[in-house]
Amino acid sequence: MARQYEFRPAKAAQRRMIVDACRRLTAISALDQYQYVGFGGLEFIDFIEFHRGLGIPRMTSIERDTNMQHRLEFNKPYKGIRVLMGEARDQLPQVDWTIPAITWLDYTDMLTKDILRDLDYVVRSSVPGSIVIVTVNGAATFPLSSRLDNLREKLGDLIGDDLDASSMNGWGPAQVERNVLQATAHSVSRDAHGRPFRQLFNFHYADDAKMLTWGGIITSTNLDRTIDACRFDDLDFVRTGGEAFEINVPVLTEREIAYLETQGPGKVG
Amino acid sequence: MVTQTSDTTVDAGAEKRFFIEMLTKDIELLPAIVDLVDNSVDGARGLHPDGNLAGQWVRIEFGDGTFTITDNSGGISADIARHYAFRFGRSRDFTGVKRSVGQFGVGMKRAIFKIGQAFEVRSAHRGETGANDGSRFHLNVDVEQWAAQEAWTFQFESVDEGVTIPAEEEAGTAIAVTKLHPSVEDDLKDPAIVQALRTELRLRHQESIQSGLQLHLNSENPLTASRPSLQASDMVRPVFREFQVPGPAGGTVDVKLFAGTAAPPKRDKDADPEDDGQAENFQDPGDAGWFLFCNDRLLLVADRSPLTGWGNPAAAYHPQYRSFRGFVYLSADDASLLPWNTTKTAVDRDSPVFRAVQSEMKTALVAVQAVINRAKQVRSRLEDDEKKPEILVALDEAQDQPITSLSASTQMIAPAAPPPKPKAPPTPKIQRIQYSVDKDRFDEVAIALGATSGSEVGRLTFDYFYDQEID
Repeated sequence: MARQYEFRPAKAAQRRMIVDACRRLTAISALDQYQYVGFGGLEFIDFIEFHRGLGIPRMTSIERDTNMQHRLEFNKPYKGIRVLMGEARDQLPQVDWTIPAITWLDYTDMLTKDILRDLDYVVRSSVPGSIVIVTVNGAATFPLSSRLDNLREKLGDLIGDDLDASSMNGWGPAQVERNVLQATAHSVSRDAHGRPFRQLFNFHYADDAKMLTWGGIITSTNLDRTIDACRFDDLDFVRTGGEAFEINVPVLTEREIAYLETQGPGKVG
Repeated sequence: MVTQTSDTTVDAGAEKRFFIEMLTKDIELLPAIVDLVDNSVDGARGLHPDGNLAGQWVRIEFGDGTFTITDNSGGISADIARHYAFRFGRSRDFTGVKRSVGQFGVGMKRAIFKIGQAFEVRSAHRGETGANDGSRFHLNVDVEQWAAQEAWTFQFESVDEGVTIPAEEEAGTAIAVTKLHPSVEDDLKDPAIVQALRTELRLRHQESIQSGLQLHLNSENPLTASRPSLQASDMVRPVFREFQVPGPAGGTVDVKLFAGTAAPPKRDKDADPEDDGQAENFQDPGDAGWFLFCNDRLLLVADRSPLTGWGNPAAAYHPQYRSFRGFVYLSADDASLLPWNTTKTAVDRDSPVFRAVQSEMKTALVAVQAVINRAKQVRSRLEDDEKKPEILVALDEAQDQPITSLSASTQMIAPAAPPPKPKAPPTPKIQRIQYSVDKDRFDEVAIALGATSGSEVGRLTFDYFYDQEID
């Protein structure tokens, strides 16, 4: 799988960080009691990572392009992966949400209300202790002057009035998207589970386009202290607020990599 | 105690008016009428411990400034009327009533006061067989006059006790309310309110209607029972979740949630088959939506608003979802735990209990919509001569089953969609080029390219240009 990592090094690093964080879920439940729900695409890279890294046996991949079904069945690395064909919103209800889940809604588009509905459904349906992650395009591909209008068009009144074009440069639109995602998860989780959603991830990365990955854990009154015991905060890439962790993967030579490896374990740099 | 007669009269009047206001302020018209009907139905059921209600009837009629409810449910004995049904406060020597009678109490007087300013009650009660303790009474009250008098009692217009009611005479109660309050008069003319009453009565008393009770609402034709039911078969299983929601300060609310689809209406075989496909867009939503009951009182009727998840997170209502039905039953011993407003006529949307239930309704709605969407997609790509896929067979042919017969299922279960047939790759669009060049120059290029034919030289030179300048 090393080749894909070279293709998209930041994405690969992010995946590893998320798997690392999920390892701490053992305080809540044995990891093999979790299921993974994602959009595996043709390569199922995240599925391989979550299976190898965490030993998660039960996995579901949702694919919207119904013409690819035979290729997906051919490419899926584990026979046990259940492939659901169709739009996420129609397929998500087929997942057994009574099992704790790590769900990664890995979109390539910018945030829309449809994506928020998928998020709403997953947060509502998942049992406390479940992880929910959303990746969206950082919405910085439009000309600076039209970015805010574009967000308003996609998200309507979810965009506050206090924003202006000057906050739309660089990661500005991604910050707005993160706020909307967190606000949605916050209120849905309060409705469904009685406690707000606890954000853990707020990654900015750009292998190509600027991308945002936001996510966290569903809690409940009973589970709050157990989640404290997972000590997610100890991981230096965990972000519980508006400030993002920006992934910058340096391009290193073989010699440099070999040198760095001799310096571990411990903090590098 | 006030001693002067004139003072007493005024005090009593003020006190009574205040009392009536307090009694009626927390009830809406529909629940008041439903209370009266409940009394009649309870009476009928009390007469037939075997549950067979054939021959029992209840008639509700209104219009022209009157509201009447008549039944043959056995009547009220003069004794119970005197000591309990029309007495305020409980008589000291009245030690207890059977449960069904117990519901008369406040409910009946409150309902009457809610509807109008004057009422008449006639009742014939047969009593124990052969005991000769039948009774009849007639009560006629003008509430304004009553309020002005000192005594808190009603006077019988006439009363007969210790009589035998002849077998050919129906034993029952007739209540006629006149001098209707203007707002009640208006409400009873409002088709939407009458419809809501009809829906509530059909659902609420479906069991009694099916057991033979004839319940008439302004019509010679009795109401038909509306029995909550959903499509179920060995291929389809609707959502049925049962759970408890804790009250904010202790206690629990028991919740039963059912969601699924109703069988498509039977079509007339002679109807033009062409109409079939178009019907979807024109059919009215009918009973599509959520029905929510709190302690058996119907609070939401066919709700398709954001309150029950339509539009967020589920898709907004669209005719393709007209087969959706959801039934939610909340019950609690302590009625104050239930998420209703103070008049018990609408949902208190801010209640944490409701929000927890609402969340379950939302996910159930999304789940059912997903099945409907899946079936719609399969149907849209179905070819004429193709065998009907399982999911369509399931949803077109499964019968409605009463929800009481369903077994638990956290999700709606229905057959998967068959994989779509792979599309033939699109034929590439082709542009032919033809041109003439100098023969010597062609030979030079052909040698340089190692090509042997004109067409090969043509393709290679084109590719070369494309690679260098375009790609």
